[in-house]
Amino acid sequence: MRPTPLGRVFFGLAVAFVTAWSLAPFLWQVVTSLKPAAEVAAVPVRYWPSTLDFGSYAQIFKARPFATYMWNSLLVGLGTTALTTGLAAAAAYAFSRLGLPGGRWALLAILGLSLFPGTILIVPLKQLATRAGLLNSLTGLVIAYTALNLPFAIWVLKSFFDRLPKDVEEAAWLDGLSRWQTLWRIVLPLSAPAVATTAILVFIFSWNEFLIAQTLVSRDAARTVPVGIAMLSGVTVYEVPWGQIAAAVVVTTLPVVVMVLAFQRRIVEGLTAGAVKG
Amino acid sequence: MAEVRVEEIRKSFGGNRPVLDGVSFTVADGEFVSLLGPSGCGKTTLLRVIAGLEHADSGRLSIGAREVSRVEPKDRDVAFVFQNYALYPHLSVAENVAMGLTLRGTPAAEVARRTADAAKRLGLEGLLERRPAALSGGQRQRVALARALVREPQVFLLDEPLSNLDAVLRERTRGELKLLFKKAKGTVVYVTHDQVEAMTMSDRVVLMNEGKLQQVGAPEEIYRRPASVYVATFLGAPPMNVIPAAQARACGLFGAVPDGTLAGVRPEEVKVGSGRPASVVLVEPVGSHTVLTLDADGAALRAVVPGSWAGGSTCKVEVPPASVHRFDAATGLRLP
Repeated sequence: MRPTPLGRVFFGLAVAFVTAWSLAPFLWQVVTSLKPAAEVAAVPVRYWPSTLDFGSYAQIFKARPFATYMWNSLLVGLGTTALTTGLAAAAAYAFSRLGLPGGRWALLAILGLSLFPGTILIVPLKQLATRAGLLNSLTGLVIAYTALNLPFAIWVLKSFFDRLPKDVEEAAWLDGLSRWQTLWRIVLPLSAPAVATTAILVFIFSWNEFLIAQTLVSRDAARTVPVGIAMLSGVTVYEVPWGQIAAAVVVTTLPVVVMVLAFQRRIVEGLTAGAVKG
Repeated sequence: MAEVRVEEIRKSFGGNRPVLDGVSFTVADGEFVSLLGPSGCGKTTLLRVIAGLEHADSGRLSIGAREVSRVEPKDRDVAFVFQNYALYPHLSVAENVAMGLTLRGTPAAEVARRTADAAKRLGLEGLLERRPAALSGGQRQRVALARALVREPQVFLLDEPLSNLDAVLRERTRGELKLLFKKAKGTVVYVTHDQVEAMTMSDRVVLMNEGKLQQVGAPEEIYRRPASVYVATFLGAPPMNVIPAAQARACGLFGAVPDGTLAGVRPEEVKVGSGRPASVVLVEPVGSHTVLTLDADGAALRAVVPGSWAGGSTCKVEVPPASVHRFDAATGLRLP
């Protein structure tokens, strides 16, 4: 069905509205981060800075260990993504192809576990981490995040594997590949869109996670970015350094935006085209 | 190359009726055997059992001197051509073809030589760097064949490899395939539902229905001496006329037909022009010949006449005694 001209106008307006709605807070942060200190909280509100001032950016990196926070976040993010994707791919392939007895129930149990709100887990997680000696450690965060993300990752990958043509795998076995080799050399390359989507979402979760990071880590050198931002404080108790917070938010958001843009083509690309007669 | 021995293979997917119900036959070394039958007759399942992609519930399967029922697919030394080709979409044509050799630790130089050789035999030389998505259906099909040929396996297993090609290409490829496997001196098990493919390509045909063998024999033999009414009416286009005893006696074309038997005659062996009168019910011109549906005193009979039909609405018809087949009405089996 071809859209009517009126429909097209309405569609355009709707897209513009949603885009503006989503982007507005972030744009406000960008503008705030570039204002000179005096204009940040000026009354009446200044919508546009009189001069572009990068002072806030300089301060978060010079006066604060913001580079350390980012490095920590990056390590935790990459670790969580690699561990989650690897474990989830193996589990999802087993659920999808091996016809395990009780596999359906196991999958439902996994889904059920992921329904518990994260806040309930805070106290037990802290106790577990304390006993395991994983307080104030990035490894502790990676393990906790992986556990939280596995259910979602397994479900996404399993539903994708279910749709892959089985013939290609059978051809691979006859060619001499083992189950593991089939997963690694055939199934995962064909699942690149699903793997990339899962990896990005897991990475974003880990990059943005605040509650667990705040609970398990109290040592400044092991803090991740969200906690680092929350800990930014002014010279006095009554001063909130909005300019620096805005600068920190911008710096933190950029890597994620770049990553999503980089993987976008992969996500959209239908790699399975040509596997079987189409 | 090796012979394939299938003994009493049974397989059920849990339904009421087994998919394979005690199937036995042997494919000789270097022989081209077709498994022919309607959809759902179990022929593809049988091929997958031979490949090791399905496990039989019971029975024995040997390739060469080796019993392989419990052997992994990759260790059976068979190559399988899938109906939809099942190429690796993320690998080039060359990588697709070479995969099986590389994994078996074949030296790189030999892999290159054999890949090039297979590509040449199948006319894929210019396409080796392409991905499957950039190939036509016919080209993909040839890549799938090259992937099988390059392995030089004990047995080639082909699952309706021509069914996804258009009619013209299928016709041409049929002949090419026959030559290709003759040159490769391969033992071939070829699944098809197309009787023309089975008849033209095979040394022997295994005709299946509902998980059971109906007849095993050379194409000519199962066409000339069908073992049952099922085989007689499955093969041939149009299929054999099979007439109940009472009608056969009434029309007087088949000689003495005792009660409890059926009389059959191939439409192309019905003689039109002399004999007893019959009315022409339907005329179906095909070009090279015409198919007539006749009514001879209540017996419906189809006949094939050369060229076009100009005989009007009545004709004379005769069935040579040597062309009459007789079957038991209760069992459907051929009477000697």
